Amino acid sequence: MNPIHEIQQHMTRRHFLGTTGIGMGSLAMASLLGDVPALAETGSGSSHFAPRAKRIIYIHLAGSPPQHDLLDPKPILKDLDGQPCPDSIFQQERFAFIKGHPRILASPYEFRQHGQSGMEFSELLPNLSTIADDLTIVRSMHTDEFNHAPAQLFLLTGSPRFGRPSMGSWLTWGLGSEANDLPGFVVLVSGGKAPSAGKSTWGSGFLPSVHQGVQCRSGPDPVLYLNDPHGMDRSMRRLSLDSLRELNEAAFAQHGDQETRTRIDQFELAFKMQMSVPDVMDISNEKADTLGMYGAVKGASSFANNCLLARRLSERGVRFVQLFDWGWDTHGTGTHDDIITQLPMKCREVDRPIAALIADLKQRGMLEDTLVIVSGEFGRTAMNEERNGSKFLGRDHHPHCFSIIMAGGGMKPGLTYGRTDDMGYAVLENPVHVHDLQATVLHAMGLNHEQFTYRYQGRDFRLTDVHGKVVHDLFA
Amino acid sequence: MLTTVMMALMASPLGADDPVSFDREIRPLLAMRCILCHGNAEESRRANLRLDTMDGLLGEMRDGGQVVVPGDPAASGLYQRISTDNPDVRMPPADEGHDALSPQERLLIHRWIKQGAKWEQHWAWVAPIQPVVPDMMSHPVDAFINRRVERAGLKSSPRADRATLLRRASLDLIGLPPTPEEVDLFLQDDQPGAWDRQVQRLLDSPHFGERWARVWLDHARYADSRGYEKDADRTIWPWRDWVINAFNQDVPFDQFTVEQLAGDMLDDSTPEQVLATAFHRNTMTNDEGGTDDEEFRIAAIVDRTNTTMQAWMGLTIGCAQCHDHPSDPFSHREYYGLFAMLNQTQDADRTDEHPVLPVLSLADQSLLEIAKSERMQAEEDLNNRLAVLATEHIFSETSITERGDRYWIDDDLPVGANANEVNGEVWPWQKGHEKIPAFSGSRMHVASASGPTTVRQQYFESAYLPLVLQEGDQLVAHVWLDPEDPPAQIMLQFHMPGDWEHRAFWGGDHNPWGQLGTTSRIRIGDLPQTGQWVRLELDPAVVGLKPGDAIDGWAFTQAGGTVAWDAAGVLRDEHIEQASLHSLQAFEARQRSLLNPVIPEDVLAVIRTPMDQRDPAGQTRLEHWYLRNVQIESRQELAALLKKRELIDQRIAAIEASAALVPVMRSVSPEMARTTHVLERGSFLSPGDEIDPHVPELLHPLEPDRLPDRMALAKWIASRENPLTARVHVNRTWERLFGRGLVVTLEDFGTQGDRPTHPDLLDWLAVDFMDQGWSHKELCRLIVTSETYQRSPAPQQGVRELDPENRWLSHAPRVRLEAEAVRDQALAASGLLDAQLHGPPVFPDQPAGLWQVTYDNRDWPQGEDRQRHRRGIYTFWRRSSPYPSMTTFDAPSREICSVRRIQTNTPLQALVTLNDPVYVEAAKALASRMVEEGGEDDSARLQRGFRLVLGRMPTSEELSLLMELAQSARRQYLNTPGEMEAILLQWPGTPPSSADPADLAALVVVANVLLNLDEVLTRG
Repeated sequence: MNPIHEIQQHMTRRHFLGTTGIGMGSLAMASLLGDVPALAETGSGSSHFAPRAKRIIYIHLAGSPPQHDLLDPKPILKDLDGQPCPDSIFQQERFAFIKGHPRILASPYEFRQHGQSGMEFSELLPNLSTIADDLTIVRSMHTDEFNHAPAQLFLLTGSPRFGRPSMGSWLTWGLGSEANDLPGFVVLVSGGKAPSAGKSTWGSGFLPSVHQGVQCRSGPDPVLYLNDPHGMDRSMRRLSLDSLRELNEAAFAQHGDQETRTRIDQFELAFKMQMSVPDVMDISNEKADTLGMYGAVKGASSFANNCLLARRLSERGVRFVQLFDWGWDTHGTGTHDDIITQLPMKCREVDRPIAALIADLKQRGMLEDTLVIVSGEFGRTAMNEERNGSKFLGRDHHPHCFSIIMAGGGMKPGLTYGRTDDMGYAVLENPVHVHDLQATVLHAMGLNHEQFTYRYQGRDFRLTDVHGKVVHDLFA
Repeated sequence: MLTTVMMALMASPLGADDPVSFDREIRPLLAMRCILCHGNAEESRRANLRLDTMDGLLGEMRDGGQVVVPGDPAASGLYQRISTDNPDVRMPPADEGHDALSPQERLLIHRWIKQGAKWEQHWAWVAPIQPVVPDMMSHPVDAFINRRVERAGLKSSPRADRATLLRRASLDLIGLPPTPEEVDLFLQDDQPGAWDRQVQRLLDSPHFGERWARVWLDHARYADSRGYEKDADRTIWPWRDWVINAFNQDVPFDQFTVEQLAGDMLDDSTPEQVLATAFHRNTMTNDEGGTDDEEFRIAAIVDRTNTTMQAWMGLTIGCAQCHDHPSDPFSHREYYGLFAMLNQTQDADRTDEHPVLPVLSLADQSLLEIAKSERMQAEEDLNNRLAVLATEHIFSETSITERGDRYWIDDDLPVGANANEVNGEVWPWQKGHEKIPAFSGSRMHVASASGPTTVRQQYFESAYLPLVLQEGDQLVAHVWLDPEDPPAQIMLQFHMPGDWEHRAFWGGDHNPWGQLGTTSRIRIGDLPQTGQWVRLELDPAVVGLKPGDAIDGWAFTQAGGTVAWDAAGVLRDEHIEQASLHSLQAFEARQRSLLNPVIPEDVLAVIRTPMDQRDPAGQTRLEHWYLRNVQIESRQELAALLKKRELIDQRIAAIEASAALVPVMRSVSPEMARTTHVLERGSFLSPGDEIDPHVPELLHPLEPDRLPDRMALAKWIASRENPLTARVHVNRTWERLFGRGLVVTLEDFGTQGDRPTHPDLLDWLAVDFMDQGWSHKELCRLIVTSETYQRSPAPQQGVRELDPENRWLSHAPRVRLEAEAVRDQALAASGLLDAQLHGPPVFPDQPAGLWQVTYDNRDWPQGEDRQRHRRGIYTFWRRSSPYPSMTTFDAPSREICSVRRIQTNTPLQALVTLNDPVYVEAAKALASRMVEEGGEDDSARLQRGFRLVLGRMPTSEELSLLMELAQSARRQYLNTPGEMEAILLQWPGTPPSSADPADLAALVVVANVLLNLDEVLTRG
């Protein structure tokens, strides 16, 4: 690799493609904001083919919900409830917490078919059930990891170890942002805790840090240090930035460093963000109907509010909105993490907002080019965990199969894809590995995952590592 | 594609006869277009053809013919395949979406073959040889740099002004800006060598170590937490301080290397050398429930293998963890050869971080030193007092030789005595009464025999503390015979273990034991007077006992009558307790008499040594011990001094107990040595062949006659023969001083990395670095004293067009400050900086709620004593949530080794320096300084502020812009008194009284602008 190429890589890929050879000094710095032309404006020159989706809302249910109780019914388990699981399973498996010979746990929840498609949902998801025909369910997801942090990293960065760019970073690096006064990759966290793997799940790895997710928080300071100090109102800030600009212009005239120009612009963009971010984060102008539909409450910090914010951010052109919701690690050591008390509570928190988000995107005509994904990082066992003889019902970590929901972005609505065995233990048909999901997501965004690479330390890195195949069957 | 061609064109003139360099021109082309399928990796190699070795290039094609026929392009398979028009045969293959080589590229290969296809090794695999400096009159750096500047047709910029220069060097060498006073001293120094003196001052600064340690911490992936899901705290900051000290002391880089990789294996390793090995304990550990410790131990060794090669040798061998390296000549097996050398340490992803080294903070170390010197003082006080007391008491004449009785049986039997039973009585004790008053104490032994000559005997054995006979002892007992029932005989009998044959009697011979007339049965005389206590005395020799014999049993025997016994023992030269308390001689004598004296062995040894054979130290030890512990007056007098010493001892113990337990490297014992296997696809669940520790074949061998262990690896890396270590360090140092390396890819010196822009300079510096004893300070000095370093940042006319990236360094590069320096500078310029070195990590303000922790409720401490204004290097570094403004300014998360921070320029950075409370606080403090140090006049205040952040004076244009801002801000504040009041709140320290509020408020706005100037955020 040569230095010019090197510097080009520090920009968004789009930026590189839109510019030729010489004069890179002025382009060396990528911008978080809209100095990169939007994909739509330049046609397909920057993606590998026509995209199905322009933006993504990725809802991660951190800790991983139990598929047996939500999306993948296994009626046969009712007859086996409380029986020891087959030896064949027990002997070959490593568990995180299960000790001794585990026993089968049938789901205590009823499943029913919904919509024209007859898609099956448990009674814990009454609102999602109503939009069954807008959803695509994959029951045959599987992963290689069975601890939270590595599994989250694997799902969202393509590697169970730290140091790789997250999906949102890849996409903003590759496609730039459509928003001209907002970050291209925004992260919203609910449930009281961040995901296990921390900020690495929205980190930029070896990509320029400008592409890392920007965490927006509810409350008065949605982006860190967004507010001017006390005693410095907007006009004073304007006054000082004008003066700063003039001083920086004078310096630029002296030495002509393009970095100085970029910095001048970034101060102006910061000034804009000080208005636009609170504006997008402020839901007080939303209609009461809309708020009610999501279950969002003004001034609250909740998953429901985050879903509404996700729509608002997407509307303004944010490329990748990542939601994390904590509280799905239902081991059954107490009521705080069992499937009788905790799971229904968590479902009540997310069922309506997710359904509302998808319906809202649809009524605004955005669903067709917005890909919504709802997933955990792995699945949960068909067996009751009974950690230390716990009397509460719960399930241990399980990498071999799990179910996710997708909607919009070119996905085939009403499709239930893949099949697991009667235990809900292993995938029988149409397995979708985590790398396949990543390849499919990139495909939806118009990118060939094998050609979408970043050269670092002498190697071309991909989100899908050296694996992954696009699941074309998922597309309408 | 285009860029490759341009490189090739730039690097070589177009003339067809100019020699083509395989290493410079052909290998990069092959590497980019061919090597992935025809390279080192066996798995992915196609047609069994490899183009990365000489053998491969000169070998046979699979379908016949030679790959390269030197001198004959047309006969060379390689050239045929790249130049054919037949799309089925052409390489790279069109059907896989690859473009054909360009005409220029084909021409290049044609010329190379034509010229004889000379093969060269990749430059970085060959140890550097120091080239001749092109211009012996110049500084070596300038000689190499200027040659390229001229060749590129560029004009160099002149030397920068002194203020700019000093700021540049200060930020580069110590990471802090110069004070205006330091700038003034430099400006006023018109003697030759002024610059050298400034450089020396900076090299000597203790902050030098902090700045360069910062760089190394990224290499070492240093953090104050363990990573992974739980990301629990880790105590490893003492190692960070070790690094700071190492740079300050200019520890030679080879030693720096060996100590960190294998300091624990050095002969007689010091605690510091063991501490150094914490370098590799910065690997993450996984405390999550249900994780397999071996999985994460392996993950740590993998990280150490990758980090070692990356940090010291600029190699990216991580891919060889799973398969042969695709482009560089490192095989899957060789990866595990290196891995094997690191695979023999005790740590194993344990929650207790075993093994650990106790380390005290510098503060505690000095407290400990104080305590220890206080202890020495206390000891001295004690000894001084002892000396005085010795003269008073040791030789004081207390009579100790009075003879007296020492009773063994008196009111009680000796401890442990095992007595017989007679008529159900164990020992016929009676209280003294009217008829027979006790002779001594309160009770006595009274027995009656049933008939006139019936023998009655009471005895005991096995006394725990025997009666040890001394010279001059007489056995003693007191007896009272009943006048109304006198006995026919009384007898005393003594027992030593297994031996009762010691009898003496008075009166008739009525018992059968022993032999009359011998020591086993000897008559002493007639019965004593009845009705009164009579003292019986007996020379032990008479019953066959001698000094030193230990009597552990005793019998009172009578034939008929009623007899009382009392107060039996010895008459001896009296060494009573009381005498011991006053006289050393008495004490000694007493100790000698005791069977089990309870005094220290060494004291006892002195006592048992005859006086004339004692050494003076022993004698003093005895005397002092006696005075401290026994002698009654001195003991009381010394009690206070001893108490004081005891309290100090407690303090010392407490300090030592507070030592940080730092994880370090320790080798497993030989019998616990692990076997290393190739891990198939890098998975710890798929061990393959067993692998012996070894280094890649391509590079120099390990030192012979040495076990291939971790120490061998350390020495191999720190060897002059190593082609990479010195080059890599020199290159990275260059990058810190110029913003880009001579090899831009600091992290990759392999064939996929960039080639050096100045290969000759790189090699010259690398060899010189080793020749100068691997001295980092000398390397820095050499570079910053060059003309190249001192150039103005403004390019000459036309330069920007010819060399937009400033590759040839005709002018000084402008580089944005790194994350820590941005903050440190604001604190320093505003006077808030707490410049103390070392110590546990600190917790400056950060927005609430950033630590959303998964498994515990630790939160960012909020107390008042948080040392909020320490340098950034001391800020607590949590991997899952690093300090936010650091991340914004491109700091890595420190989860893995990182050698280069890619610089970005974002609005989030602007928000930090505009609004982060610490920058607002710094703006207020800076406003205070502008008033207090600038004086009354507006313009003087503004100039002062400007100089505090930039060192130089503002231009008149800058000054007038600042004046305008100050005046406008002032006017605006006067119109918005609420805002004015608000900006003056939360003032650091006391607001200066000499400024009126509107002026001060306006200066905060000015200071905020000053701290955000592009020139301030940049080192120019």
